[in-house]
Amino acid sequence: MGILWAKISEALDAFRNVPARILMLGLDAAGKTTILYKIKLNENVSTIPTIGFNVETVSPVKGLTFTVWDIGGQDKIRPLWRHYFQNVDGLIYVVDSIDRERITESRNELFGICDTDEMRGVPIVVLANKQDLPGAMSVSEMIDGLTLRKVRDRKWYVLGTNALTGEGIYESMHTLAKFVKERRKSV
Amino acid sequence: MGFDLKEIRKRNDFSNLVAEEYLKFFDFTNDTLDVALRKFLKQFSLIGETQERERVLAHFSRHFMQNNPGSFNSEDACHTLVCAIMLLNTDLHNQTIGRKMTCAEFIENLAELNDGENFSKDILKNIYHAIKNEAIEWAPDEEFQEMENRPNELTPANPLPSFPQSVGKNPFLDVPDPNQTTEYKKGYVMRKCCAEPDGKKTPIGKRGWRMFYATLRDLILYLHKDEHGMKRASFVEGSHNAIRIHHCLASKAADYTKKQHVFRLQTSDWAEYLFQTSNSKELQEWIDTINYVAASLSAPSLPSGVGSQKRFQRPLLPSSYTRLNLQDQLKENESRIAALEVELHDHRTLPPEKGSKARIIQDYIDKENYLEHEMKRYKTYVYLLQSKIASHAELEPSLVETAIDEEGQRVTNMASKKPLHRRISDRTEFYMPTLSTLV
Repeated sequence: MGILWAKISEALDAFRNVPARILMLGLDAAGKTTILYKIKLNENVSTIPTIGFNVETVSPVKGLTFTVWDIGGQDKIRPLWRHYFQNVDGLIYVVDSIDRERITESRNELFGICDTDEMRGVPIVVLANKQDLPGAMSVSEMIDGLTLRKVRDRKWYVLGTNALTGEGIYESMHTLAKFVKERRKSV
Repeated sequence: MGFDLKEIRKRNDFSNLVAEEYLKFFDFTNDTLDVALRKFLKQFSLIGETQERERVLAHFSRHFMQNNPGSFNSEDACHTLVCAIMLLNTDLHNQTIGRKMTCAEFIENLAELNDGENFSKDILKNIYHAIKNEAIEWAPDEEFQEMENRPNELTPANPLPSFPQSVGKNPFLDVPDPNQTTEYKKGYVMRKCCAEPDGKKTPIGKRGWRMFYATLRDLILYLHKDEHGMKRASFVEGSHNAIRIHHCLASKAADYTKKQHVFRLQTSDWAEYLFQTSNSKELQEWIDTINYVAASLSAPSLPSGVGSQKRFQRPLLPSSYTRLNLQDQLKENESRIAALEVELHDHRTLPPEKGSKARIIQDYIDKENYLEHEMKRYKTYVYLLQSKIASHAELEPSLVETAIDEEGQRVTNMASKKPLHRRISDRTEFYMPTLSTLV
């Protein structure tokens, strides 16, 4: 019976379009904008871009719509994102894999967001971008650099990507979609 | 204008100077902040990533404060409010955003951001309603757009290209222009879907045999209803059923006895198909061609993702072209075999304990199946690459001889020696030196 019920609710979910609020963060030139434009819906539909900051919607799996906000920028404007921290479902963190010099800065940026109250338990997907370039940090180097092993209060996932060709984007969105769904069930 | 506007978005002393000079063209005296912002953005198209936009707005804020000293507690406070206005504009006027920010939320979000104090409520209310009533407009400079050269960013309404935007289940991967790719094999086949990506069984209704005219172009196997579909050069039509064959393995389906001359195609995302061909010669040709193209063109695998949950993950197999030449591609594949041998050995020495959770045991079996499959695949690749390179070795000296021979002979020889291992863009460059040595 339980299995049947799960199947029915899954089928119903496919008709409903559940919106999820996703934040995207990372140092400048990590590849956020490229990724954002890669994942946007309806590439061929003409929409007039809105002045302001970058936001796109994407449907990584049936029945789930991500609204992805690119929330870069310095500390001074960080408080402005408070409004979007409320009811946030997931965080996409983009790192430039060849920028070894700034990995600590990148780590601090990530933890600056994660340690806030609103972001408690919010799953993170880290995109180790620019994997196609020589000298790119491997996934395990990235985990060490960002000290992710210390993170135990939430789900996280690190994947190598190449935003220019779109490699790894689909897989990471899929993982994040899974995390978002699992978290909604448990809350 | 004597300087490059793109400079303003960067973070260095020179950019600061350029920005300062540029903003001197504007007079914001006695303007409200939102009016000044509208003035500025009518002239300057604010694009790029959030950090870049923010830096430009910092310059704007400084100039506004110079024109209107004392209007806010500091330049930083002004800058924060400017960013808040931009955010509000996106929030209220972007069609994709569901729930809009209310005036109360806008005010609350800015609490204590005027250098620790609150902004005047009336000012914020006026700004909110001004933005709500009329979105900030911009008049993107054409020259600037060209300079940007980011067609996707400003003009999403590109004319429809003549080739598909996506192939297969993954909508985010690039599709190479089919007209730039090499055709390796074509012909009528029967196709049956057995498994969807990740090995999930195809629903019964979708498992029937269907006839297609298959065309293998680089790493994509296009499937058209008939050969006319192909002639019309409408790749869009055939993309619906097209299959990406990078990192795939084609093998004789000896276990499938209902039909003759059938091969199985397992793709990199673990979807599975059966193809029936007309005779045993065709069967072998399809298998060898598909495997050879996949072996020589597929880029090296990227490491698998790592997560907080310790579960087996397959590595990422990129759909892009390899940058290695045939020799290095062979070496890369050989090193994969060596790595797999170690992995397989380690895996088998550490089976899960008896009475482990079902999920752990399933994970173990999945990994074993995966490793064995990969082993088979890389061994096939290495075999094909080795034999290709061996045949090249014989070909090389004979090429010199044919060069002295008659011309027609030589050209056909060259054509048969396909530079499989190069990216499309490199291809012409590859031909060039080889041909020039002959002339």
